[in-house]
Amino acid sequence: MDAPSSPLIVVDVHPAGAASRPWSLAIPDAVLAATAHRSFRLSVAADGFDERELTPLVAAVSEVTGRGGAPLLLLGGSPPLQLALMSVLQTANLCSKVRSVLRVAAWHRPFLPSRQPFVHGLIVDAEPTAAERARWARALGRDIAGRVCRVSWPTPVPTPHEPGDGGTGAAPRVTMVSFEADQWTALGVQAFAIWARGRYRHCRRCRAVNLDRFHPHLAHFEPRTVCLHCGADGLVEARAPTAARLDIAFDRGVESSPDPQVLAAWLGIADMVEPRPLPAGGDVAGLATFHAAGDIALVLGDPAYPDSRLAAARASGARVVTNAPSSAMAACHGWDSHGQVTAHTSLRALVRALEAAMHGAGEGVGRVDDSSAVAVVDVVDAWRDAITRLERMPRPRVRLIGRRALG
Amino acid sequence: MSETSRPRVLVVGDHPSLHRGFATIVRAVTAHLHARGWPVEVLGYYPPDPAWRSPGYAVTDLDPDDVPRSQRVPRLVGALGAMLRGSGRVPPTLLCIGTDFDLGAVVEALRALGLREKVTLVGYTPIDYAPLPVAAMEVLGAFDRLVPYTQLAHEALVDCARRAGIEPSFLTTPIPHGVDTACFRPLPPAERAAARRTLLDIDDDTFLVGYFGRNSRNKRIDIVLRLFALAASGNYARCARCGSTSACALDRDGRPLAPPPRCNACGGADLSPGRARDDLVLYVHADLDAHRAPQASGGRNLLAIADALGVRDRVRFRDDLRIGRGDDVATLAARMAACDLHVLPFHCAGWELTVLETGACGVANIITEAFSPAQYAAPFSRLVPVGSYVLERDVRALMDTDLGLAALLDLIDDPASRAHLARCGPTVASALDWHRVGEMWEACLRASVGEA
Repeated sequence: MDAPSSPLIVVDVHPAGAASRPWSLAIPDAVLAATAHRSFRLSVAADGFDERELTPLVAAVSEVTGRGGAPLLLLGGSPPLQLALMSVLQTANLCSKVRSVLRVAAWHRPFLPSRQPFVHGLIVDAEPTAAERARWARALGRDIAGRVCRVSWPTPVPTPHEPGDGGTGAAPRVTMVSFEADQWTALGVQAFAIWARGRYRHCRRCRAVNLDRFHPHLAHFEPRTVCLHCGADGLVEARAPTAARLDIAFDRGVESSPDPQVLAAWLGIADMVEPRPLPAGGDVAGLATFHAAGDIALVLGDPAYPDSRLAAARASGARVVTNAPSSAMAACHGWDSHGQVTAHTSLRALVRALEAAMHGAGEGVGRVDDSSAVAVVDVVDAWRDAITRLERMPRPRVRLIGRRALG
Repeated sequence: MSETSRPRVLVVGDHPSLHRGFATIVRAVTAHLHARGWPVEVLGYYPPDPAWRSPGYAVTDLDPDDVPRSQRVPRLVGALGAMLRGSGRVPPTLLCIGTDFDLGAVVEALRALGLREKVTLVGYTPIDYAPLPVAAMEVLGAFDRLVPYTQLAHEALVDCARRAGIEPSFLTTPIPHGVDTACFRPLPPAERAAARRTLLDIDDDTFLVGYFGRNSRNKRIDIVLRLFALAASGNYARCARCGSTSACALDRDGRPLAPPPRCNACGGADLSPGRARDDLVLYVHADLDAHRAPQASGGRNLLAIADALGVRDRVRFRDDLRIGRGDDVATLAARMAACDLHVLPFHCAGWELTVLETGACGVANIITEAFSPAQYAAPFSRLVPVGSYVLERDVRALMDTDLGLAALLDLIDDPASRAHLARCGPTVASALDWHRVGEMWEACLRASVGEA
């Protein structure tokens, strides 16, 4: 790889106290080792950035721009905080002098709903949809060809640690990792609640699963009496694994979603759910170890954007229940006002998959294949290629309005 | 009670000239009270329709210009101050109709004016989200009387009030929404055929699925389009074992993929392909431009969704409707009565007037089996269970795609079932005619001022 024409500045921004790895599309060490760069890690508390961390970054950027350079600023971490840092740099009058690139893990998309005049490029880990392309072209205010680069996650090969008993015991332990306690975490807690409390019935005739009717105002479940699928009235109560446990590892919640403990209490399973901190900062090996201590790994996220959690679960030896695309789970698809399509996984499908995993007699539901495996060398090549392409982005244009004002 | 002793009622809500749910309620309730001799006037939100004329009661425009809702409180302070400080010997009763935001703004304005204790405050608001947080009582508990729409809403409010440590006696018996049964009624066959022909360019052999409602976040026209596309394209599989339909998935751009290889309901592999139908048309009576201001209402780009699903040429959109502006009531009712089915897969709802109105027109409904509409509309609707709940700040109950499709196909193919539901709609509507609902409001307002 050619040496970059301008210095590379790598910045990771995280909420104070949060683990860094799950937020980031981490640049492989092999790439950084071969590239002239400076790295900064900033944490953001409720009252904003820490000046002591910010000052060296501002000085580094100013040093390069003072020499007439236009550094390539590779931001990473929590996407809203990446944008917040851009605002800080704008205040310091530095935004117009750098070529800033956001790194956004796909599980955290969609984002950038509005015009971002000082964002020049994006590094993402999945091919953008047409809606994303349109949105990002608006946000970046220009053709995104050469400005949006795709990289890949490495496929880890961690050693499984003491896998569970295969889920056939009376007290199965389900593990779930949630980078944020988001709507997908809430979906997992709901599915677990329905399964572990037996809030569903089987049809004696067609064997379909019939979830109880749920009344959200009073968090009340009402059993069905007639099969919703074949119309038969011979419904059989589910045998609930009432001793099951759900261990949720998460970093921090997002404002828009319920706290998992509050949600569990609302659904009547507070004593069955145990939240834990994200193990080992959220790296894949740590997640695999966490899953390996359980029987069933429940891996839920936006199915359009599988992430490193799936790889960790697969490597753990636990049975995997996931809504990743290869699971082909039924879903309720919805569009948002930005045109983004989301497949909201069917609770019925999740309950069936949990049941199958419990009894080891699945029908392929929730199973994953190996098609997403990516060799480490390919990962490194993708990152090198991305940085090379982004290096070719033109320097920011001089702000003519300012010059006229001066003149 | 003599006319002169009747308390003066100030109705605060959406401007009665507008074509939207709250405005319809304001218009109907105020007209009833006015006709029965109550001294009533309206303080109306949002820019009014200049062509509209009041039937005799006074209307003050709060928002002659389209101002942001964030300016609601200062404008209310000005308007309420002028209207209430000049009131006569009888303390006025304020009937606030709207969202919890609307109700909160009135409370805040009255407190700022120092007039809260000088008026009787009655609220009428949808409980269209769940669970109700205790914090909701900070607004709702400030009312002398709070009127739920339905029994479900009443139960939710009582539960919330108790959790908040508030005695729930201020919560009244529910008062439902109403419908003008003289206008919203089944059409005789000849009139119906004429309406289909002239208003919708549809012949008798075409099966017409309708959607009536705003292009807003919660009403989920995207799901209507999705179900319609599945039924029209036949891109689903039917299981020989359980009879279920399993819908095709979509790619990330919303384009259809192949149907699943196994039944989504029972796992069976003996599946037969769905059947494409070229006799289906969907009529979407909604504003098309809402997605251009997505923050306001969460509207979606319906043309883009229909394109992705491959049904653009099968859907009749209206490009002339805007929020609050639409057809006159008689034309709207004729369009409703011209439909064979009405589908409204809301993910949360307080009432949904168009469900009742289409039911009154003798049209079977398909709605989500959740929230309040499932209570009153069950006799004339297929209630489709929820497939997935999205839990964020509140609960969004998403209609199960496979079961929604099954309901749609069943009612398309089974005229007897459809006719049975269609017959039940007008019966439900007759009990909810605005005249009856208006009498409930009279009783409520009398009780509110201690003259029951």
